[in-house]
Amino acid sequence: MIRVTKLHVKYGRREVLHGIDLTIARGELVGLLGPNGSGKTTLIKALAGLLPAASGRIEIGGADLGGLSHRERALKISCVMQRAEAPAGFSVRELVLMGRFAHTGMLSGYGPLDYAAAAAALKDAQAEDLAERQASELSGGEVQRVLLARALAQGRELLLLDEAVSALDMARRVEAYDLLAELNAGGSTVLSALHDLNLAALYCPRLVFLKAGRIALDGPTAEIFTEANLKDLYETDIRVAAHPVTGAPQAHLVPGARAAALG
Amino acid sequence: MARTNADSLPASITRLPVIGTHMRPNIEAVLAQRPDLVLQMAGRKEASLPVEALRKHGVRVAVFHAATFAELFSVIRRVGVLTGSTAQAEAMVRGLEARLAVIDARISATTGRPKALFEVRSPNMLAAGQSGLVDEIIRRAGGVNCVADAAKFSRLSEEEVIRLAPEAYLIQRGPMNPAPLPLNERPRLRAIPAAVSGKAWFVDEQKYSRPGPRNVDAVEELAALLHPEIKSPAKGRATTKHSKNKDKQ
Amino acid sequence: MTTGARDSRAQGRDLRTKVLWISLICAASLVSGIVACGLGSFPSTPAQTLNALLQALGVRSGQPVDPALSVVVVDIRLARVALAWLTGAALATAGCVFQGVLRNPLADAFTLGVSGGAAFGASVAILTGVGSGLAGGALVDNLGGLSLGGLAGSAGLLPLFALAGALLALGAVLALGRAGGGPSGGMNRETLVLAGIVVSTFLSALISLLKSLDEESVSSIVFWIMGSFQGRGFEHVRLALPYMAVGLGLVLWRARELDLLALGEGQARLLGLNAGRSRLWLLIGASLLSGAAVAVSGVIGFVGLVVPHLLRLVVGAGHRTLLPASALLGGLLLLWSDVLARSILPGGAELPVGVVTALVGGPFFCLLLGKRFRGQA
Repeated sequence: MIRVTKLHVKYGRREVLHGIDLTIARGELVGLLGPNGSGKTTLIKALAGLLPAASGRIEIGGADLGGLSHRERALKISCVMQRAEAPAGFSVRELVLMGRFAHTGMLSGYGPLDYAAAAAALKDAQAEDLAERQASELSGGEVQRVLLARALAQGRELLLLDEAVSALDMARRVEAYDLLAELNAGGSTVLSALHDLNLAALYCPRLVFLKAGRIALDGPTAEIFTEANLKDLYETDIRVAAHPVTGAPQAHLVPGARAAALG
Repeated sequence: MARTNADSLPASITRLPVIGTHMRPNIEAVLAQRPDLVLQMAGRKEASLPVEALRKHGVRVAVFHAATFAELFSVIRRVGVLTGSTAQAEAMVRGLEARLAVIDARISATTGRPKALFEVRSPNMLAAGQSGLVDEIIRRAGGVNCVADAAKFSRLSEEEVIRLAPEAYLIQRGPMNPAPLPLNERPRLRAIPAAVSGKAWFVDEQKYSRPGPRNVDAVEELAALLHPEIKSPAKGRATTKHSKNKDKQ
Repeated sequence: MTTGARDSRAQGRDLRTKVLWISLICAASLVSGIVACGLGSFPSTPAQTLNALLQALGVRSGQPVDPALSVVVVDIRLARVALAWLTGAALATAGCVFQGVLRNPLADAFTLGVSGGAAFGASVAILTGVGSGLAGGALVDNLGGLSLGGLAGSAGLLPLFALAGALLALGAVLALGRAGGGPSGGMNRETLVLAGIVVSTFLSALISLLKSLDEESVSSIVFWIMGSFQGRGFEHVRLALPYMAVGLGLVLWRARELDLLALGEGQARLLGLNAGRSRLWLLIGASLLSGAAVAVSGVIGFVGLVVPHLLRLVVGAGHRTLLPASALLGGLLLLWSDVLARSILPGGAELPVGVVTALVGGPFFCLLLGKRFRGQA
């Protein structure tokens, strides 16, 4: 579904990603992890076509990303970015309907099919109750639910998420990841960048760790989510224990990191 | 002696140095002429600022106001006194008064006082109002200014022009109104009496709107246009079709 | 199924509000147009006015109409009603588009330097003398054989100069915005507004220069800059209509893109919009609208600012409704502003309509802003 080869991405003169190689197969659910500034957001933006590649190649579903029109790209990729703002004057329904833009022609407006897709997406994202609210009056968590709904209205083949649930409370976060897992079970490919190690380990069978613009680790969660790897990556003491219900590995911080660092 | 940018008549003065424009004269250029006397027309608010500046530098400035022929003649006499040519000024005024008297006499023998409208500028039309020399020129030439506005200029809508129904339509041509259209090329004014009868003329802005001896020429010219029966040399240019070709040259 | 029914009910209610508002403004425009044909310094009874209008439509009714009254009602008042309505519609639509594209509630033809460009073009025309004595017939003739000699000698090229000025100013603003827009080549809205301010400041300095060069033309330039429909007729409607129609078509066609642009460049692109190209076309459309409006009427402020703001409160920010509603209300507003401008002073004297819109629009806009801020607090 996604094939990235030797990808370099620059912000102005500063290179942020230094040669990323990454392949994600259709139907995978992958968590993208890494410390602050490791390049998670940059990678998601590059995959979504928001940042141009300085060199290297990105293929989405076998097609070169650079060769796709905006519309073609939007039909393949649905993306939820962090810190997205909702403008004043639009209802949630109108906002979700905008996800259907790429599905409509220049001359035809939104049709019954689009309204139906928007309604279904609202339902799946558990945002139906918000449908008639003004988008600008929503809380941060509600906005993220609505944006997820919009991404679902846009398409479910490939979902890219950048901290898409970080503004939600714990219960909503679990609900959102339950939804992602459900979508994944239905055939969606999902790549989600997030900070929350344990949420990633709980839901994603495969994890990719970025550090300083390079892929540090990439593999099945059970194999790479180890104390040694996490200590290396985050440069602090971390213990890993099994989740009491699912048995998935979960990371636990150890107090005293500051004293150890000051040594 | 010097002149402002806009002064070009009589032709002999164009060789004189220029001291800037009439609205913003260059004080430095004026002082460089070491003038004994500066003449300034009153009226515009901007005009009083350079006057103050020049007076501060010890230059004698005489400010004149000429909105009627009586005031115009008194200005000529006073300039005569100030420049030491009292007799010449007196003779000039006498001559002008005599010419006006001739017109007065001829006009009083005629009947009918056509309603006239004097267009100062178009589009964004501005017409001459009741105060100012143009109004008196029209009256002395045997017409009536149909614009009732007491000010010098009146900003009229086309609708108002139609309501006023002028029988004679004067369009001044000059710096204020550089390229006005002839009346017969203004479809919305086609129904006013002046357009129907063809009594519409271009006139020279310098002659009508600048105070000076040429205002008497204006009276003579207009009298002949409004009352052709008095048989005086007419210099106005008609905007009607048969004379249009001549007009364009 | 129940959710589907609820959805369509909700949409139906939403739609009904919008349709209600739009038909209300439409009806008001129509009635106002007829009433405005009866108002003015030339005395006319409602019956005479209607009679003259009907006669112009080819309906022969009993008594013949006084030709002077017919000229006043049809050629002057009706033409001004039509031109004021069109200009208002164009200005409000353009303002709405500028605000949407720039994501700046204070954006207007003025903020972008488009009005300044048009005013500069007109000042050049006035100074060189090609602009005075506008006549539609003469203009159309001249357009046929436009040569250098024809350009210098002919009357009535002022609108074209204004339009050229508007487009040049927009080009300069876009070029500046692009140059300062960063490595991605995108234009950020602050840069664009700054570029607009730079360009309009520069242009107003140029206009001042032109005024100083030729003091005799000052009053012409000043009156033109204030905006007025005095002396305008159907030839101006014919002149502006094609540009306005193209501009309006362009922005209405892309109304949904305006919604996406309101989300910001990143989100718009994620949803499949070529944001740069879309913005360019929308800006060209809005410039055509405002350039054509400025060309036939001079600079008229506040319509493009007040109307979209007011309507956003009523019909929301969705541009598929907001754009047509702005056009309709903008037309209605300027129609009545012009009626005021030509009838409020005694003795048939006229106010520049730009003064009326500024006097009415200024305080009104302050009220709107105050309401908005209180709403946010």
